[in-house]
Amino acid sequence: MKQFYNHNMNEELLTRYLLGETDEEENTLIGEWLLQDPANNRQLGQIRTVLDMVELTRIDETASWNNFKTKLQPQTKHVTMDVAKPKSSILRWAVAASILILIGISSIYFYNVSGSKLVIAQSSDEQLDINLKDGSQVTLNRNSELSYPKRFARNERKVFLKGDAFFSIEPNPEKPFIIDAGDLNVTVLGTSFYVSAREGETPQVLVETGTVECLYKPTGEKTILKAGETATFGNNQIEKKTVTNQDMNAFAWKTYRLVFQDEKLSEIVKLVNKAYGSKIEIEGDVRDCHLTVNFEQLNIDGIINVLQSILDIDFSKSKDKIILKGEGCQ
Amino acid sequence: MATENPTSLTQKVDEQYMEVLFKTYFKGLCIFARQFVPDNDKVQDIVQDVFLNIWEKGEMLASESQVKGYLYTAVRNRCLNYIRDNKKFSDNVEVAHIENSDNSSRIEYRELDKLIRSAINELPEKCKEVFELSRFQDLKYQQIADTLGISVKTVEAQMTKALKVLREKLAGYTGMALFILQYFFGGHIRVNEKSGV
Repeated sequence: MKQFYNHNMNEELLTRYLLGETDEEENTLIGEWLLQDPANNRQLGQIRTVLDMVELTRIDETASWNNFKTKLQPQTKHVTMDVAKPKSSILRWAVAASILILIGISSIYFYNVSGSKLVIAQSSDEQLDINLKDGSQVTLNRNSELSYPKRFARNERKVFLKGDAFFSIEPNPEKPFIIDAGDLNVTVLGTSFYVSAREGETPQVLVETGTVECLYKPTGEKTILKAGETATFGNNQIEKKTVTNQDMNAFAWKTYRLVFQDEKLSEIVKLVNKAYGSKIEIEGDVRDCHLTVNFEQLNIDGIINVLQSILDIDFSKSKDKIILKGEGCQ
Repeated sequence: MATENPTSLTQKVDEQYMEVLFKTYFKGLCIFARQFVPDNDKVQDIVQDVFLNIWEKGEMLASESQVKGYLYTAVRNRCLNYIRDNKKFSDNVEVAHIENSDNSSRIEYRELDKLIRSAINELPEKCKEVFELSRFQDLKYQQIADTLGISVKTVEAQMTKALKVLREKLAGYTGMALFILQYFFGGHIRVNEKSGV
């Protein structure tokens, strides 16, 4: 009976085996050979990997796409507020209630305000996507509120914002889109941009595409922001500048992207908490360590993993808080 | 298709965008994933899961290079998780090695698809002919021998040589460390299993 040892096994036989060209006797031999040493498995595995990879190059992208396409469920993140007009007040509340059940993370009320029903959409612990009737889309950050009429007026589209939101506005030169955000009015023709209007914080607008005009109500001053520009509105003045990575960090709640250049860990954690709604705390000298790091599309666990790979920190969870502890900066 | 902007970062994912993204990257990602996960069907499942996840999130990074980096990172992470959860061997040394070594942060994101195809093209003529009849026409050794008018022994020698050459080239592209990683379901190949492709 033939017996193969590691250095005696020949590649021809292994190749024939993987291509299904071997007979029963040879199969038995190979089976025994594989059991002799894990390294044998690895050797066979290498040839098998090449064959598998070559087979993968035969993938037909179109056929694969057609097969994959069938798995795409309608995207659940976008909530359409198009509700058929209820016939009586009882029906109206029934409709509102069914929307509440579907969404579960926000509350929506229908008010009658000067003839036009006003929809108030509030987000709580999660972001909320809103599709407006004109095709515009708004993403509300956590704990924010957007009020808008069920039917826009004839000459303008006006909404009211409290908190943070990202707007993607359908162009309509005849009907400017106006966002009333407390001290700030933002007028747009058709663009995508961020507005931050939280109580106790300096309002900020950051434009992604297009152009927006901002009115700072306390002073009556107006400014126009173009793509790539951002402005803050506080202390009775407007400060305008070109968007930097640092500015984009304020909108990480939407982008899931944080960029830091030689930044203190305490500051980094503060921005992470702001973006993710997390409660991370730091104990020990490690809070003063300076880091240069990017977080790209990570969740909190991913971010903590990255921090642990850079610094010597221990982490522990207590209720809903995460505590990072460390002393040195290496 | 999608609005891009020098300063901005994300674009909406609709079906049209998804189609382009999928058709562009699916194959390359599968071959890349096969370095970690030793089963072609599982590999395709994993890569599809990454795309499904993007669809559910509804948005993707706007810059092309960021998208590619994101996709490859996501696939790699899912593969490593899968291996960790499915380990049949007791020693975790090699997985740990992959995850902690410098290599893991410099994983080549080059499209292995094209590299493999050109490596096949560069095979010596007779060798390439035999290989292509076997792998792309699904012919058995005897059938290849009959088609080309050569002996089965010759077919066998050429196939073995082709695989050796390709293996060496791929090891160069992917890094030897990754190529060593081989795990099989059930701990070893069952004797009568119809393996290979």
